[in-house]
Amino acid sequence: MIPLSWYLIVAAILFCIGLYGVLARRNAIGILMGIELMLNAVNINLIAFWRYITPEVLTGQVFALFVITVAAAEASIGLALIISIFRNRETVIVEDVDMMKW
Amino acid sequence: MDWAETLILLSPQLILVVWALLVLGLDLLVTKAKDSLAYLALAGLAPALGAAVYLLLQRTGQSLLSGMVQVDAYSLYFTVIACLASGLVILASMEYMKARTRYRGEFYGLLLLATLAMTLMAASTNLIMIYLSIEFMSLTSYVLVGYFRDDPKSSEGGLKYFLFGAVTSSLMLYGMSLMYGATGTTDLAEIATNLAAMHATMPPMRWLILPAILFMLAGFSFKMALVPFHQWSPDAYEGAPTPVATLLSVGPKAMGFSILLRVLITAVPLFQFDWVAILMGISLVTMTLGNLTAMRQTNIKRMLAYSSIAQAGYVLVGLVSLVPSSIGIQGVLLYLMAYLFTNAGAFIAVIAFSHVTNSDEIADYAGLVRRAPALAAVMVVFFMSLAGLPPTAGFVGKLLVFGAAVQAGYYYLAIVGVVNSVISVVYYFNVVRQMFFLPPTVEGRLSLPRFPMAAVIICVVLVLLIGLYPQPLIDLVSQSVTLLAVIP
Amino acid sequence: MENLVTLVPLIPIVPLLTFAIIVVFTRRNNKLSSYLAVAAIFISFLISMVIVFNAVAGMPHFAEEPAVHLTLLRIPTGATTLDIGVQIDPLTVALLFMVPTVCLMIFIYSIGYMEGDPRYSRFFAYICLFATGMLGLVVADNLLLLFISWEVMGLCSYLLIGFWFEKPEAMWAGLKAFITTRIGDVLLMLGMVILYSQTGALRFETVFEGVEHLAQTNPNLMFITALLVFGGAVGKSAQFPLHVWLPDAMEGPTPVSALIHAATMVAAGVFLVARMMPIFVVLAGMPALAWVAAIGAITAFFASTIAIAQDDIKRVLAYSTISQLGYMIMCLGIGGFVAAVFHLITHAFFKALLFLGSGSVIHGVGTNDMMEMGGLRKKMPYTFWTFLVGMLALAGVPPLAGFWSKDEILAIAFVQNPVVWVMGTLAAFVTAFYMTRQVCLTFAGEPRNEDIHAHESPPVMYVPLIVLAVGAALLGLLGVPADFPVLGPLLGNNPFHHFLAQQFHHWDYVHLPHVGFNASVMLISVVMALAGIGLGYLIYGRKPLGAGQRDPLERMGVIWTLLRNKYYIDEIYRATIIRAAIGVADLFLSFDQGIIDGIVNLIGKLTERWSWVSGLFDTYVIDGIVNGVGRVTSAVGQELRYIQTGRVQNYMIMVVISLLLLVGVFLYM
Repeated sequence: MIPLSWYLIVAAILFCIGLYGVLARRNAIGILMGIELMLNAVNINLIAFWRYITPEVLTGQVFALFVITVAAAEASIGLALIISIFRNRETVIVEDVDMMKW
Repeated sequence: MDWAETLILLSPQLILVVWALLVLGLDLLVTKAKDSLAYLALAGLAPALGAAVYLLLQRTGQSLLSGMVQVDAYSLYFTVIACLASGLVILASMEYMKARTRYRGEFYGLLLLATLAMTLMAASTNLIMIYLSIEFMSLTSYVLVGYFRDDPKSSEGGLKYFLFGAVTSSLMLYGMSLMYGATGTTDLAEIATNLAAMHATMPPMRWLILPAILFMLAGFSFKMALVPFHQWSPDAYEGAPTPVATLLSVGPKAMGFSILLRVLITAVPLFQFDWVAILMGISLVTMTLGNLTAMRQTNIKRMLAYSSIAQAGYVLVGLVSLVPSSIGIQGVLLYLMAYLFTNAGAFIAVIAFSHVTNSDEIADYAGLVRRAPALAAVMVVFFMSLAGLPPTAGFVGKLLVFGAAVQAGYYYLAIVGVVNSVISVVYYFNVVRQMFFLPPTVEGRLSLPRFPMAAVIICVVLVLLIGLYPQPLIDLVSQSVTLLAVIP
Repeated sequence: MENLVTLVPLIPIVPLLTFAIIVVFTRRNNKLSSYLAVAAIFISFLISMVIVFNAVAGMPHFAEEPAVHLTLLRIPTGATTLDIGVQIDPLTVALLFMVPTVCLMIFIYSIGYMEGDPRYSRFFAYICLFATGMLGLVVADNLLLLFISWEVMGLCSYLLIGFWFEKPEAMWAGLKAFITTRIGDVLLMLGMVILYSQTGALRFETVFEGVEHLAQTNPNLMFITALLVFGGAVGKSAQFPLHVWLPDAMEGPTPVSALIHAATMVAAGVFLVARMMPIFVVLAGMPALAWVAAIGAITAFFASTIAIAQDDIKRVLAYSTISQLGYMIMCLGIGGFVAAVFHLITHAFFKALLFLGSGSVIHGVGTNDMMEMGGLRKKMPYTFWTFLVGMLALAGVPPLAGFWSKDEILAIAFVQNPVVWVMGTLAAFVTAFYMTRQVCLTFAGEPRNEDIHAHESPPVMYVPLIVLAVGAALLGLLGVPADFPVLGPLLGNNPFHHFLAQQFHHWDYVHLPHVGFNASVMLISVVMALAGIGLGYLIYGRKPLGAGQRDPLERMGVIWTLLRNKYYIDEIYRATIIRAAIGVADLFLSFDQGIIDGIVNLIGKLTERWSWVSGLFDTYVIDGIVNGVGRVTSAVGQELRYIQTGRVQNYMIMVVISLLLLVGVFLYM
């Protein structure tokens, strides 16, 4: 059996990739995708922990399902906000969205 | 536990969910008299608040829904805060929203949903539920912040708030997954017992638990706008419709503290030494940075945003002063209630002002005392309370938290807190100076909107009442915290 | 040796780290980047040399154990584990002698050649990554690591061919190379999958043990598997019919052509077949090996003829490379494992030398067209003399390296398969001819273009040429046949053969022919080489071409046209395979935009798609890494004044950094 740590490492790497995307992408949609990656990394963690630590209780699975559901809701709200920004500014580059500062 | 009892205990939440759906549904039917929806929303909040107060006085304490939520004095206390905050905000938004957007029905519906989310945050005792309620709160507030979709500032605030919130919530989730992996459960109390059991048999898993705590802390701190997780707040407050900023500055912030306290004290008391140290550092930075930045602001909404960051730092002072008595935690609860009326009052005063002048610049407050003496007077009370001067609610709150710090032996924390309060006087009274000692740039009395002024008066009365006679509230909080698990 | 093997992973890892460092940190500083790259490959070179000298000195003793392993990673796969690691065996040692040496020379040369290029640092980053791939391939002890390295090289090859992507030809050429070699890669992967499913392992030794059983139970599958693996080599080593990408790959910078498309990467196909030799010979009658020999012989001969009629100095060398690789493949096909590897190594030296020489010429005259050159002998003396050494080595003039290695191949062919021998000998003749043509057109006579003022290249470029020329001249002496009169015993009875022949001692079913010195074969090959040179001299050297004069060979008429157009293979592909692909695409995608004008559209689309992908890669992966880091640091600086920048990503970076700091501090406490 593949050891638990491997899943955790994959999840950690995925999380970092997502985080990197969030920090480095300029396009808001790209950032959104980075966030999705981070959430998926969490899901891998949850499922792996569930399978290896408490396979008899479904907590991890349920948690992951909730995360997936909430992520969908979150994405739709995010896209709505991005559309509203685009209507106002004609841009989805988050760096350019800095009217308010200091 | 039978169903009837469950329903009674959850009645504030149930009332809110029914009412929110009612408002949203009626929004589709009612085309003309949108303001009636605001009254309807208020009418829904009243029974919810009543139920919460009733249950609070009943001194109930029950774990419900397979341990997902717990209805006890502690959670009910925060439920009361949530209902009050949202009631004040609805009052404040009536004229304000009417003047700015046609789509007002769902605004009130969303406000009720946000209130529901806040009450759930207060009651959650399971990581899954905590995540869901925080996310529920966030999702509604993202929409509320970006509510003026044609206003670039509003949508910018919404987007920034959203992106920041989504990232911190991912970080928090990662922490939660680690916590789940380390302990095999998401129930806060079980986490504590499992950790204790593991602690007895194995070497402490600091390397796993500490990152888990810190990552979760990121999500909670986002809600509380603690430094360094605070940067969304000035932009979101400035961009958001001001009533929404009001809500954000008092509601979710208080709920963040409720969750933080519950998680730290119920789930990871074993690591108290570590998280106290972390929060102490955060508290110092938050107070200082918030105050220093607030000094340079020219926009009053931004100033209040930074000021509320600093306020969260004061609250943390009480939170870390856990030993030797529960006075620190009591201070946290009391402070949050006092802060609710103070900050909401100040924000609503700003709403009233900007509703007629369409400006949020501090410079435009010049000579306000001649144009609207009542407004100027109440603002002074709020600023005194924010700065922690007697005889206001803010003074009582600060007294408790700094007193707890001294009692716990954190003298330097108390000193930094007091010094910061003094600094804050500078920028609060800069506004007072503008209002009282500078000539107005524009002449003529202001005719202030009715409903916000009503809210402001409620706030000012309560601020002074708590300041002058705090005993009932102190009794209430001491009763609320005794039910919160174990406090050393 | 147990200790030495622990050094082996460093050989590919050092360039990999350097790649990362250049991309992330030193990109802005061109000089530093290039020095870092050279330093990295120099470290790899030193480690490799330590291993080579120890191995040659008899440590480890390959006669006792086939290879020394170091397992780096154990992937659990149920009952067994999939071990990923590195190994030292004679073949690895031989390649470890050649690859880092050539890499080092080419890296140094690039410092001069790439001078002034706007993407200077990126170039060094890419070639570092490439070195990682090649060295990883050489030291891999299993098919998985080999395949990963193989793909890394493919990626680098693509990136470097299209390095000057402002030129549409370069971009197209990169695309063509990528897609064409991809066909081979898919075949190789299929072969790999079959081997894994049948033998349950990917480590070479275990696979070799497993295939013996497979060959008995399912000979057909074994045969197909061997052909699939060979398919990978056909793609990578540009063998017929997948050779079309290599000449176009000359659009890349010349050091790249020397490194990737002459000395190392294209030799990876040969290396793969050599490495996997047992799976080709395990079947009785060795049917798979016959295919290898046939493909190799065809490629060797036909590619050499195409080289006759090319005017582009690098394209001539490209076809020559294809032809020489065909030689090696052909030699493997007739069981000449040692000779093929020997030729691989000598060829790497003289071909890298020739490419770098041509690069020096291009650097000097500013064109690739040999018709524009002429008379460079006096203007570029270092380049000329070293080029001449390379040319004579390639032509097979004794006693230069190419002579000994080529002769060994022909000697084996003579015994094993006369047809192959005839093809090989003819190819040798043609090779000598076109090389003479090239040297005469480039260096002899007077300049044919008045506008070109050639100059010798800087020392940083010609010193590597000299080093490689010494290698090209003397390296053959390591492999002088043992029974060659006087010289054989004097030079240690063919030490190279002695060393490398240990490779497959441990597998009983591997019987490789051993062929001794054959005076008549050697004589014929020398005569052929001299005849080729002589003919070339008669046509091009005695009376050097003047300005505007046409190539005398055009008088050959149809044959010239055929050769000039590379047997129309590209056109045939366009008319058949690519057209068919478009048909299928039409069918499935139902483009309803009226008539699709064939190839142009499809290739255009693919290019567009691909350049988009590569653009993303460049913009987001490479630039992104750099900008990300830049943003973090600049944000940190700016925060001190205005923490609230208004940019939400700065806020988030603040969050992440603080969080990491907190975690760090509190874990430390």
